[in-house]
Parts: sequence; structure tokens; C-alpha cells
Amino acid sequence: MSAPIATVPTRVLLVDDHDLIRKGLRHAFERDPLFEVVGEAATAGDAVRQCAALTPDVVIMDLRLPDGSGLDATRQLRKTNPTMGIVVLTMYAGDDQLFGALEAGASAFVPKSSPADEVVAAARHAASTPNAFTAADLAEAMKRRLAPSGPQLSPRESQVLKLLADGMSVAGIAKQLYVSESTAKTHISKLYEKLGAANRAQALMTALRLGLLEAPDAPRF
Amino acid sequence: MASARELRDAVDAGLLEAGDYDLGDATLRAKVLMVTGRLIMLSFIAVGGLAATRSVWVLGWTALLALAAVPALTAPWRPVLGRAGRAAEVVVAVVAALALVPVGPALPPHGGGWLVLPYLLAPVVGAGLYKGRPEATALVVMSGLALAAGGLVTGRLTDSTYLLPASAGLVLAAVGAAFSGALYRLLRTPRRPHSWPEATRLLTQLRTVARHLPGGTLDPGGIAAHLLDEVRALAPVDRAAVLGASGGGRLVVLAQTGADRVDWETSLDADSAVADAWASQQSQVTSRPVSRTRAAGGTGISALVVPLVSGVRTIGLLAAEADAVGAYPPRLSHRVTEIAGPAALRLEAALLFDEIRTLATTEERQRLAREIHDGVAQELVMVGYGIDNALAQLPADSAAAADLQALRGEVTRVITELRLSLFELRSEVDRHGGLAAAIADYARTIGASAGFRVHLSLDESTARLPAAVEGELLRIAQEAITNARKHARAENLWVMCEVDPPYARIEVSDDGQGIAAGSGDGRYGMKIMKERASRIRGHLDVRTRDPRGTTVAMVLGKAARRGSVSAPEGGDHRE
Repeated sequence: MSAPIATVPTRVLLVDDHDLIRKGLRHAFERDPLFEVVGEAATAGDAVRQCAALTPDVVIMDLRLPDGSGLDATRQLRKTNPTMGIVVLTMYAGDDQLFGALEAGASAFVPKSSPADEVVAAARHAASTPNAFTAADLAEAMKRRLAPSGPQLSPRESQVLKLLADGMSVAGIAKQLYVSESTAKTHISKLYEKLGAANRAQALMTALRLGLLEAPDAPRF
Repeated sequence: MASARELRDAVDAGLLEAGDYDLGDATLRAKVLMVTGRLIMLSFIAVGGLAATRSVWVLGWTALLALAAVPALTAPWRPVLGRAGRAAEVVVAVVAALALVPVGPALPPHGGGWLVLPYLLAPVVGAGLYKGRPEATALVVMSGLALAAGGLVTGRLTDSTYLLPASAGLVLAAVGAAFSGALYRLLRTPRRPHSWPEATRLLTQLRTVARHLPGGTLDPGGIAAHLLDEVRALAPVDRAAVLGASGGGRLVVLAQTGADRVDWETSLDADSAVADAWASQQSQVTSRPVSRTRAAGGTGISALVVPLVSGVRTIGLLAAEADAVGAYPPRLSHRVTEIAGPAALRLEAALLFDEIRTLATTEERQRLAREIHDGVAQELVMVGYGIDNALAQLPADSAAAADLQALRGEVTRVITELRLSLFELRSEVDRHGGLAAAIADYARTIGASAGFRVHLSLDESTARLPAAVEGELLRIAQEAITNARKHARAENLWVMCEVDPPYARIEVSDDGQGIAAGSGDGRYGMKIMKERASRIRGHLDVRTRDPRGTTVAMVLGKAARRGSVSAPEGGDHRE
């Protein structure tokens, strides 16, 4: 929690099953007088043991370890050490990894493609604010996650939904869209199916809840 | 003989079903032989012994022998019960012979007691059949010891009237033990080939067929379509489909025919002919439609649902509808059921083959991903950190530092490539998420790292495509997106995904430099995409996009879904 003071270096534990990667990171940390590498671990079990023995300020944790997931180790460490900085390192791409690290209680998330200096920078951040998550791609990932994940309507179905909300009959909808009545019916039944609704009222309620429709009392002009 | 016992053990352990091998026949024959052999010998002892000795004791000993034979007959392959039963038979036979033949010059009628000794054949041969030669030999040795002990106790061991018949009985038992192996081979059905050669033959056949893929004969879609053609030639059909099982009590459409696209009843929970046929394995004829869109202006409908049963399992359904009342009289539905039988077997083989291939490729992809992750990728990370370290020791404005910086940039780029390859290798179509979600997820992640805007248009119905097809479609979309990222230098990526089983259309477009700039069709990725497309009987179209860029379109099945307007066969245009 407390910011590192210049005279007392931040104590770092490196967890990765590859010797040379630990060595590379050790060099990077040793270049910075504000850090001191106090230990290295090659397995998740060893990491947890060494953390208990050494109580480092920051742990650099690889996600894939021979005896288990670095995420589980992170979760375990976070439970017992609420103010320890945990930097998660990973080779895997994909938002699931990033959000997995966030949910496990990591302080920072760095892909293994990043230069060593970025790992050191993340460790600096983690030491000062261990409970504020940071990652290079965080904002974009959040945006992607917020993208609609519910039922996806085709443009035609959205049109049909709006017309249904306006209270139009099947015949009216068919006329409006220049299609046959049975085609309109097909669109409607498909729409119901996607929304998991049995009738018009249920479909409209679900659509409102999912944000596919504006609420009727919202300003329309 | 040994392999048969191993199989028997495997069957006992529940690893195999007895029906998997023809050993069911062999064990049955062995059992018949053992039961009839013992019956004949026991009646021989009872009748012959009674005639020779005129002593009622013979009957008592016969009954005792029959009693001792019970465990060896009921559980012959059990390690304890079967063995103990056979040992008991040996002991009873020897004791009976000793008891029936009085001490002294054993002349007829008293020598009739020796008739008991040939019974030793029964336990010895049984042991040979079920447990192998060691136990049979052990039983022979045991009878020898028992006879010797009996001779010693009754003080006639050296008497030739004792020694000769006893040795003759022993020799008979030994011969039985020696030939029980040959007997077993005789018992095994000569008409049917042995299970292993049979399995090898099947696998060889499978390999031959698999080599001729894509578009080979082991394609569920093709087999289903063929069945529909057969049914159409036989019965009046306006709409028909072959439905296969998928997870979660739902059916997937494997093939269908008809002027229109039709929504088939795919739920097995509903109270419908489809669910009835699935559960009862009986053909159902009904006047209620089994498709959810009814024909325009139809006055009446007949529907026929035939279960496709292989063994005891329902593997799919054939559903046919005609716009007429009473179109499927019992005789006709019976004939349709008849042609559905062999088709079910073919379909199951194809589905199994699909499943095995999917499993194998998935496993291989995961293994490949692990290997890259733990191997070359980590080594490149080490190289990168090494460069960082060297950079830190050089003055920041030196030429060497600039070179190293550029090198570090390259290493970072290559590691990023590898990370994306790993992501591609590891991504699968989720059983619950669906194909569109998997494609969207992939496009978004790639778009984020490649720096182009991704525009998604997803339209997925709740019905699903067969899992193998979904897998291939995801791989094709991935390949198209990867091509756009690697070669096109695009700013925008449009991914359109429309799934309405059995129809599906996936379009990946970019506004990059187009295929003309690259080597186009000859590219490795293109070839693989085309192979994947033909494997699922789809059509892949790669064309230049207007005004610039490339469009890769993958179409599966036909699209028309319009009330009463019929669409041309194979037409894939939609509103």
C-alpha cells in the first residue's frame, strides 16, 4: 500500500518455469536500483511457499505453470496478501486471459511479447497500487466485452421489432416491408425464437430489457 | 486362446461389450461342449458303472460328481469359484474310483469302478479352455498325486491291477490337457473371421475411404441426402429432412429436400411425432405437420417420421411431409422404414468417423498449441529479454542501440504472431455459445491486435449446425480473417455470419490491397479453406471487393425461406 521509499528497494519474486526467462527478468529488475529480486520459483506450489516465507512486495506470475494455473496461484496469494502486487505475465492472447487475471485479483497484466522494461513498469505500478488493475489493452477489451452478447438481430428483424412495438398487425408489417404475409410471419416467429418469447408482449419486454428497443417514455424527438 | 481369455477379462471388467467380438459365440460353444460332455460322461458312469458293478453306490457317486460340477459349469472363468469347482471334481472323481474299486484283484464286475476315472477329462479340458494350459496341467498333476496317495493309503500302489487303470486315466487326462488349446481353436467359429483381423480389415477400409475425402462416402450430409433421394423415388414427398442428434435434446438438420426452406421440429421434449419416433423407435404417421412452417393453402397434410436405428440406439430421424391426406398408408411407410435401416448404419458410420476426426484434430491442435507455447514462443521471449538487457547497457544514441531497437521490434512482432496463432489453435466453437459468437470473438481479438475496425453482422437462429460443420466453418472464417490481417493491410474488416441450419453463409471482407496483389488462389491458406469447404459440401467464393479489398464468402446449403415462393435449387441469394 505504501509507496516504495528510495532507500528501501521493492522486493520481487519471479515465477516462471523457464530459467532463461527468469534470468532475463532478473537482469531487467537488477538494472533498476529501486528493485531487489529476492527469489525465483518455477512452480505454482513453490511460488505460494516462497511468498509465505519471503513476503515479497511484488510477484511476477506466469499464467501457465507445470503444476497448475498461475491464475489459481494468484487467487490464493490475493486471499492471504491483500496488499501484495501481483503482475500476471502470459503468452496467451484473448480477452478471457485478461479478465481472468482481473478477476483473480492481479494488479497488472503484461503479455510476454512486451519488452522487459514494461514488466518492470508494471511491477512499479503494482507495488504502489496493488488493487488498481492495469493492462495495455484494458480499455479496448472493456469495449469489446460491453459489445452486445445477447441475441443478435438481423437488420430486417430489428425493423420488424420496431414495427411490432408500434403495434402494427402482421398484415401491416408485411405491407410496410413489401413482403408477403407469410414471410413477415416467418420473421416474427424467428424474432420471438431469438428473444425466447411466446408472444408479442413478452418479445417487447425482453427487447426492452436487452436494450434492443427504447423505452416508450424515453423522449422520442 | 490367450487373447480370447484377455478379451473375456476385458468383457468382465466392462471395457468391452461381448457383442463387440465374436467371442460370444466361442464361449457359448465351449459352454455347450462342457455341459453335454459332462452329461454324457455322467450317464456313462451311471449306466456303465451300474451294469458293471451292480452296486447302487455308483449312483450316489454320480450324483456327487454332478453336484461338484455345478460351480465349474456356472462360473467357469471365475478365478476362485471356477478353479475350486474343477479341483473339487478331480477330488471327487479320484475318491469315487478308489471307493468303488475294492482292494484286491480287481476283476469284473469290481473293475467297473474305474469307469469313473475318464471323468477327469471334464475338469481338465474345462481348465484348458477357460484358464489355459498351466491350470489344466496342475489338475492332471493333482489327480496323479491323489491317485498315488489313494494307492499308498489302501496299500496297492505297486499292484499292477491298480497301477494300470490309474495310469490309463491319468494319461487320458493329460491328453485332454494337451489338446484343449486345439479344441478351443476348433470351437471358435470358423465361419466368421476372428475379431482382430476383422477390425483391421474395417480400419483399412476406413483409411481407404478417408484418403478419398473430401467429398468421400463417409460424409453424413451426403448419406442423408442420398437417403432422401431414395425416399422421394418411393413415396410422395413435398418436404423431407434427415435429422441427427446434437447436444441438449435437440436435433440438427443433416439434409433436407423440398421447394422451400422449412423449419423442422427439432425439439425432443415437445409432444410431437418427432419426439415419439425418437423415443419409441417406431415409425410414426400423423396428420399433424412435423415442420413448423405449414404449406400455404394446404388443405391437409400427412407426415411420416421414421427413426434411424443402429443397434439399439436412435441416431437420427427421417421426416417426410406430403400436402395430401393419407399419403403414407402402412404398406408404404413400411417400405420407407425398410430402406431407412441400411441408411442408418451408413449414417452412423459417417457420424462416428466425423466424431473421431473432430476429436483427433482437436487433440492435435491442443497439442500443437502446447508445444508452441512451451517451446519456440518461450525461447523467443528469452531472446527478447536478452536484447532488452543488451540495449540497457548501450548508450541510448549509438547506432548499435538503434539496430537492437529495430530487432527488438521484430521479435515483439513475431511473438505477437505466435500469440495469435496460439489463440487460433485454441479457439473452439462453444457448445452453448454457438458459431456466430465464436467467430465474433475471434474477429474482435484479431481486430484489436491488428488495428483494424471490425464490423460484425451476426444473424444466428437458435437451431444449430452439426458440430463438425460448425468446426470447419469457424476454421474457414479464422483463415479468412488471418489472411486479411497478414496480407491485406486493411483498415476495416466486415464479418457477416448468417446461420439458419442447414443453411449458413459466412462472409469476410476487407478493404485492403486485394487478392490480385498477393499470389491469390495459389496460397496455402486458400487451398486449405477450399478443402475444408468441400468437406462440408459448401461453396467457397473468393472475389475482389468493390471498390477495393477482398471478399471471402462461404455458403452452405440453400437459402430460400420465403412463404410460398419457391426458390431455384441451389440458389443462395437472400433479400
